[in-house]
Amino acid sequence: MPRTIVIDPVTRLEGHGKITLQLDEAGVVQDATFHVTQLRGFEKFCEGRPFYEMPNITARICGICPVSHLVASSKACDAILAVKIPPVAANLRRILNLAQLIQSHALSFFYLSSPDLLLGMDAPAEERSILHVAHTHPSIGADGVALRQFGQRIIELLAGRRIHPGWTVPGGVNEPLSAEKRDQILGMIPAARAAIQRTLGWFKGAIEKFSAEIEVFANFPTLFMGLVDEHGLAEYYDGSLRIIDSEGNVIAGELNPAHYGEFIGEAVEPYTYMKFPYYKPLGYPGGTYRVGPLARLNLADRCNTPLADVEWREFRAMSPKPVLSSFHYHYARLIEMLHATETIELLLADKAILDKHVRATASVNNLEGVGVAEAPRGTLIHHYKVDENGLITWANLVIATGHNNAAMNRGILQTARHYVQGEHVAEGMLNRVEAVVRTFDPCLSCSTHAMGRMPLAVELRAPDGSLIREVRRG
Amino acid sequence: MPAGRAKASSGRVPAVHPCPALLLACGNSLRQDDGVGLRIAEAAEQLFPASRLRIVAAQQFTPEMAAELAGTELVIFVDASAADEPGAIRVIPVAAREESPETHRLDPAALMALAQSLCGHAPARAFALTIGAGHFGYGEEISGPLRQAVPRALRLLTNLVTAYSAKA
Repeated sequence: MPRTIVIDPVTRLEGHGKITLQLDEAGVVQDATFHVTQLRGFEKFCEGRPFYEMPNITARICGICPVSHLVASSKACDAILAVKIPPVAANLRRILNLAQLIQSHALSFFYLSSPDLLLGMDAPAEERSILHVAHTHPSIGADGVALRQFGQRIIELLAGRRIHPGWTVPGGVNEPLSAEKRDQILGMIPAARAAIQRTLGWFKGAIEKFSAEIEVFANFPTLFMGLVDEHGLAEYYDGSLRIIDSEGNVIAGELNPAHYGEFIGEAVEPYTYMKFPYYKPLGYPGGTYRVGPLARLNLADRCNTPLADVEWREFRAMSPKPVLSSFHYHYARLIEMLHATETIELLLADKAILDKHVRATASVNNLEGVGVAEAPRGTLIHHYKVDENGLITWANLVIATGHNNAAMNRGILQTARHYVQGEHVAEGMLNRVEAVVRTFDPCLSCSTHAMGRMPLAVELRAPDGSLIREVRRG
Repeated sequence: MPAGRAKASSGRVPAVHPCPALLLACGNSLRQDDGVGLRIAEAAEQLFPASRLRIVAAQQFTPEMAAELAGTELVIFVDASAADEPGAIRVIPVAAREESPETHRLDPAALMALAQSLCGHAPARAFALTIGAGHFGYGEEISGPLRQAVPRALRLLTNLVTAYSAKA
């Protein structure tokens, strides 16, 4: 008899999700779906609010990456003001965004995934936590806590608060950086850099142990998308979008992020509140792409800082083509943390970073604005329309986790087919199904905003599981 | 130690902000009574100079706060308690306990254990000051019994800091 396995909730994620595995009579996985079961509705309830409130409102979407929303939202508001913000403000936002990337990557790698990597996928569930890692591998646990603290401390120094800071505003930032704070940040960098390098050294030595997982953890061809600068180098704050295929060919370059609607479509499925963005010219699901650390390192010509470039070359040497296994999101996160640390140091070394003119002012000059930045998990798009009084009439948020939705679902199916067979399913098998989701580090709080457009399905099923009637809305 | 790991790691997280006493408050100021810990933290800022009591307020207790604990001998955790009658105040000693599988937030006992593991030091004296709470809907106002409890909680906090930080 066909059987369904439900993993609910999926643990060690940002938010709440559920996985359903559908087995056939022989116990072989026929289908797998990742349900995001929470609904946020930000796009709808922002309507009617003044546009300048949007950075602070949308930052509340997430307690892990509020800075990403602040940055993308502020950029969308800059576009509504039609201002070019002072260069120092752009660089201060860059530093804030990179600090956010560091603390978020540290949380993902050390807090959420290191128990699997250090203790093994088959370790008892009660041992797979950062607390246990702190005992069994105290130096790695200490580095993880210190790196997350490093990122959060920079955010606190720049913006006044670690969580939901309000320093980034339409037109720039609301306070210049002091020399004292700059020096404090610079003073923390050597220890952070050393911690990242130690972790990279360990992780590269441990990768071989995970060859089986690397083979089946969302390891398939897809497109990759992310920002690059005018030279094709890794970029997190500005620049143009680049899309490459699984062979490494640039199939679309120098795309204006503000025109995302021309090349990104958003599909919906009845079993989840998370949308499925896709590359329009290839349709859905053929236009499935991945974003985030793996994508960024695959599509950029290099990182553009000395230490990270050495690591990037080693990373890319794993494959003559783009690195396809999503297991390597972990590896890419570590390289990005190193790159971010180096970039912060370079930006702070410029005396102009202390300039006092940090904000441009204007009133509403455009009735529409798009802001795009690279969040820890990938490309983040905020798109607003306002009336002549600056009140929001429409908002669309395309979230990093959403971009990866189709690839995550496909990855779950690939992993489940490999590890889950028959009636008896061991804990370690199911943990691997969860672990493939964790490689993407999905932030479900961020990715579930659509309201009113979500197709809902009510299914009536007979006791044997057969579908009697289905009612759909949307 | 895993193969390939450099020996340079000390295996310890350095303490941040050494101070005679630390107040760690958590809660959500947008969920009515859940924000009472943050209210107390705000009020305590007016009562104590930063040199006497370091105050950290956050939505939840997280692992990186271990480094805050490593720099003090007295910590007071302040939080709302859904288990008690609204307005009821408890002061409970906290001992390190390593049972908290959650990765985003920790309880005070687990945070004490983490401080000991990662930083090599946990405060000699630790207390949880909890205020019973009954309303967790949307809103920034705390309910009447909690408003009345805040001054009493501040007096208890003052007593703890006065009694124990001097002995630390």
